[in-house]
Amino acid sequence: MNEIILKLQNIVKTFPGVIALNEINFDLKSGEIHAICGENGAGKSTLMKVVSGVYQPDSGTLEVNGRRECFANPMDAYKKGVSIIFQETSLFEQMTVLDNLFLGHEIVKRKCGLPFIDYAAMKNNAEKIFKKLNTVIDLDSEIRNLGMAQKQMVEIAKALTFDAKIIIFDEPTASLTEREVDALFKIIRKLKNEGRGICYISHRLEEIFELCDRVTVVRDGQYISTTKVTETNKDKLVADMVGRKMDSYYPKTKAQIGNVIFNVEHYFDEDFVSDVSFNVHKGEILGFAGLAGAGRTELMTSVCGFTGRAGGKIFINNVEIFNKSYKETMSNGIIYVSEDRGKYGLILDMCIEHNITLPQLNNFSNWLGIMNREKEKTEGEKYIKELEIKAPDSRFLVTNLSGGNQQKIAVSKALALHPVLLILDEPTRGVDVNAKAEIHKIISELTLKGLTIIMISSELPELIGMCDRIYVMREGKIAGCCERSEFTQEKILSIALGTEKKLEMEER
Amino acid sequence: MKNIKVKLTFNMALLLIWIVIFAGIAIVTPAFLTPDYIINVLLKNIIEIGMVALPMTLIIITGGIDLSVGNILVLCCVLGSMAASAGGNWMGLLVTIIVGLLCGLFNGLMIAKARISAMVATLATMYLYLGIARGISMGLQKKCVYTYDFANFMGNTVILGLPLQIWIYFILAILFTVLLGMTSFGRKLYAIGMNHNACQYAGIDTDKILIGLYTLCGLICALGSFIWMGRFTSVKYDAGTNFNLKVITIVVLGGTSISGGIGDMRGTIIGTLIIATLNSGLTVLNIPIDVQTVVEGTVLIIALIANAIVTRRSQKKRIIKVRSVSS
Amino acid sequence: MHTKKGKLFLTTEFYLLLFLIMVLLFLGMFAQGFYSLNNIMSVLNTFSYILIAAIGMNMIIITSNIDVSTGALISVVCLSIAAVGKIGVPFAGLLPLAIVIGALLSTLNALLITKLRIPAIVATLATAQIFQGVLQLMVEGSIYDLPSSYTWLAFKAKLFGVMPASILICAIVTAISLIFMKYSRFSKKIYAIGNNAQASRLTGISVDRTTMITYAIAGALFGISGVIIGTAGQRVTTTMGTGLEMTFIAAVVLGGTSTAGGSGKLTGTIIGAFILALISPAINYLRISADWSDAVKGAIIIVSVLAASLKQRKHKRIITVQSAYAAERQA
Repeated sequence: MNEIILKLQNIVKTFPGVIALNEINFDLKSGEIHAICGENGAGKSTLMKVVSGVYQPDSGTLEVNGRRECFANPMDAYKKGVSIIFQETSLFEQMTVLDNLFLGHEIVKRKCGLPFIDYAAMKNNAEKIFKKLNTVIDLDSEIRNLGMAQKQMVEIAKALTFDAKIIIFDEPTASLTEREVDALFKIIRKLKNEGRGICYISHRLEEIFELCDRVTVVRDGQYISTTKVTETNKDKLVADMVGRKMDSYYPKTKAQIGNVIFNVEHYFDEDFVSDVSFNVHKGEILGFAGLAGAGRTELMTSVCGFTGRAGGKIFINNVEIFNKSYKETMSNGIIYVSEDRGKYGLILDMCIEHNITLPQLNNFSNWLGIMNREKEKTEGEKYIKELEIKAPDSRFLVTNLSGGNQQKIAVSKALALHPVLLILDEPTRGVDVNAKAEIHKIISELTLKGLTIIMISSELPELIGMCDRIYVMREGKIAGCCERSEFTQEKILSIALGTEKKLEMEER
Repeated sequence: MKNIKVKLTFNMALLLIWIVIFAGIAIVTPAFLTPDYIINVLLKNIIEIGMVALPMTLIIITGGIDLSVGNILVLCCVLGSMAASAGGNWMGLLVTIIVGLLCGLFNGLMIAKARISAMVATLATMYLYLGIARGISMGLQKKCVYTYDFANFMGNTVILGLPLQIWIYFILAILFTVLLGMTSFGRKLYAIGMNHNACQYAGIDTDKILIGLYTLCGLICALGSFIWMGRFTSVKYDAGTNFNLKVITIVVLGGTSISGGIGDMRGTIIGTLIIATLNSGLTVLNIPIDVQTVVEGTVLIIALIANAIVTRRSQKKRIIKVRSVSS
Repeated sequence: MHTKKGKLFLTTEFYLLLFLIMVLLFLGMFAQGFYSLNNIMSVLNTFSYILIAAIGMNMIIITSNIDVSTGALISVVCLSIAAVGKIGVPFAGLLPLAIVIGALLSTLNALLITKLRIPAIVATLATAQIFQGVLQLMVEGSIYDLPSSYTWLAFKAKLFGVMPASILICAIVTAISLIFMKYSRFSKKIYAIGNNAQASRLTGISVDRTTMITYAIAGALFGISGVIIGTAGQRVTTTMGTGLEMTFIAAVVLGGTSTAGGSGKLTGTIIGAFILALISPAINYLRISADWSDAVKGAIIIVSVLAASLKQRKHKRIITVQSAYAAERQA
């Protein structure tokens, strides 16, 4: 026990335009539960994907039990004893539990020289493993019929069929109930006592303190610290997670804040957003903070009519609306800009002006439907100028623009509809520093013109710099609300993590 | 804009290919060049196929497909002429159009509302429409479906020296080119083919558009069936089987990508000319019809390969960009 | 809670079996002469060649592909064995030839799909045309006056004096297939790539190789089916197989295999094939014109596909509601 079984040194991983991991060091001992924590986008998941063979590092070394390894794919890693339990399970939905456990390494027995799958041996093996995990699962049921917790158990069992000595858990408790979390912890402790090494990625600090031995903090792809859990506390961890300087964000312009123009009461969507109430004032920039999976995008897409409503009311200027589709929402002057511009926000293979006019083709065509190319071009060039988009002309394909400029197109598309309320979901994700500043400037100036903005962001400095108020969401609910005067990164993150000292819950 | 430049050169290349094939055949068989031959053999034989290729281009651009077009056309012929012999010309006209619309509508509903993939849905309806046509016309044994006045009119009238159907194709070709290239509807079709999700996030009612599109295709099939009936005067229930492949070949040859998002009506029109020339040229060169069949199949495969190479190049660029967007 | 026994009763195969029994009862009541010895033997023969080919088609569809060239492929097989059979080669030589030809042509399809990246539907649409065209080039219409050594399987080879031997071939093939689909590692790969090709690659499975082997096996099965069809009479035409692919697809889809891929049990295909085998004779004995058989099969495909789509949507809703409850419990 206590030898180093996994060692990462100077691991670097880049994607086009961004350095995801910048010289990360990490080690894991046998018989230890080692937590990795950090904010959204800090690099935790990327790091574990490198360890588990999903990604290959650009440079740096990875050693398992002292031997240098380079995994070509996850199966390679599995066979060498490293298993990862993903958030989004990688199981085959229409195949049975038993099939999933042994896919790629089925137990066979030879009859007349031919390999026959030995179901009895596999079942035996599987039953022993599930018994150890204290779980009862029907080995013949299909994965798609299982709940999240059960699917996770299957993933863990799968790791054990390889007798994995290194098991990585990536945010395992995100969709589990308290009882299921307890059961999971019992299992993890058991695995630890067997001498295996466990990596536990999570942002839930109370879990880290309950379960883990050591904790490593990463921030913006950089390694920050590794400490024994007994030698640190929540505040120190939070400080490490956010400890960045407040960069020069565009100084907040003081816009005239008016009355409430939009409010939502006791809203429930069809999934897990429950009992959310919030309001927005005219000219305000309202922020929505929270960790990944907190429900901010789910809330906004539901309110805008993309998914259904299970309960609650929506008011515009104190008049109730019953929008059943996004088109109705748009006609009410509310525009939503998606966080995933490649998938939902823009059509990358189309040019700038075509993207901008797409939601309102009727305004750019005559009664026959014939498009008015001149008008489109004028509109496109108008926004290129206004938002300082770096493109030669409005016929330039969006896919050839940088991330920042693409985001500006997405915003132009929304502005062209002359909205009353603009909901921006992660407006500067994947955007370089300069473009980020420009977008912040644009957002601020919009409020001067009377526009109201709701901004969802995972970057605390951005929210703190830009917003008048911030709502913090956690697990589908509003966990707290902060006024500008009391903004600090630690405070907001604490509410998001659920470690705040004051009972913010009462403040709704 | 880079995209437009590439398209012009592609269409020009197609035009060149057509001229080469045309010239090649004309040199070998001078009789090919007579206006009578060109009009009555080359063009007339391709009209129905060319007409249906127009809405098919739209469908494939949205990322879908319709494998049942030939069978819709035949079913319209069968039901239309049975109605005509029972209730006169107007009955025939009405029933043909209604059948076309209903078949297309059924396709559209299965695809947009029941969310069944276009391939599976239209493969199934292709077989169903064939089966209905066979059952109703009682196979080959008892009845062959015969033509009637209106169909005759559509199939055989000559106006100003050109057969009526060529004028009709001419008008339709212009309408569809305008529809795809210049209207908001066409813009939406490209958008749906490039990124269905993003369209919904832009407030576009994709279901309505797709249902309308497949119904339109059914209507064009109905129009084509008048001409077909007039030309052939009688129709067998399985006459539609080869039809589908020819239509898809033309569309793919014209530069439309089978995965959607890319396509040009002008390419389809030139593709129509190429296939027409190939077909009639092979006939005039006395090449047996079975070779023609093989040639058609091979042309489709070659067109698909060429398409795939061109698309893959532009896709590689896109994948890298998307990565940087979402990281 | 579903007990093991309870599970048995709620599967698609069970309802299908129920449907089959109802159809058989219906035919017994309304179709005069349906249960004559002659007809039963004929149905068994039809069932044999449909099932053997459907097993192959099932594998292809599970991998999220399709094959609409099967009919033309079988026509090629039929004429090839006829050409060879005419000079007196007995059945024992025809069968392996058919298997080889079927496998080769099907592998050609697979090459277009995997190497040239042409979608299966369009690739096989094209090859259907090419197979048919080449065939008609090589043979003028038909081959006739085939010797009795050729028609041995249909006319002479009988079990217990009356049963067509094709049912024996079918039984052997089905038994092997059942064992293969349950006990081979390869069959797991077929389901995996149909479920999620990307995840399969991460598991180290070669999607291209698995697809090619699947088509090859299916081609061999199509070949066997072609022998049964082709040796049924003394005359073999170039259009013997035309349209058969739709019958096979109908059998597979009716049997519960999803057209999206990733699922589908062989037992369902067996029942589906049997129902399909009943259709033509049923229509005949119910005094309905035989020309309606295609429409009936087409309707079967549509209803099956619609039913599958509905079931999937209901299933998705249930999962969403489940997770909503889970979240509520947590609150």
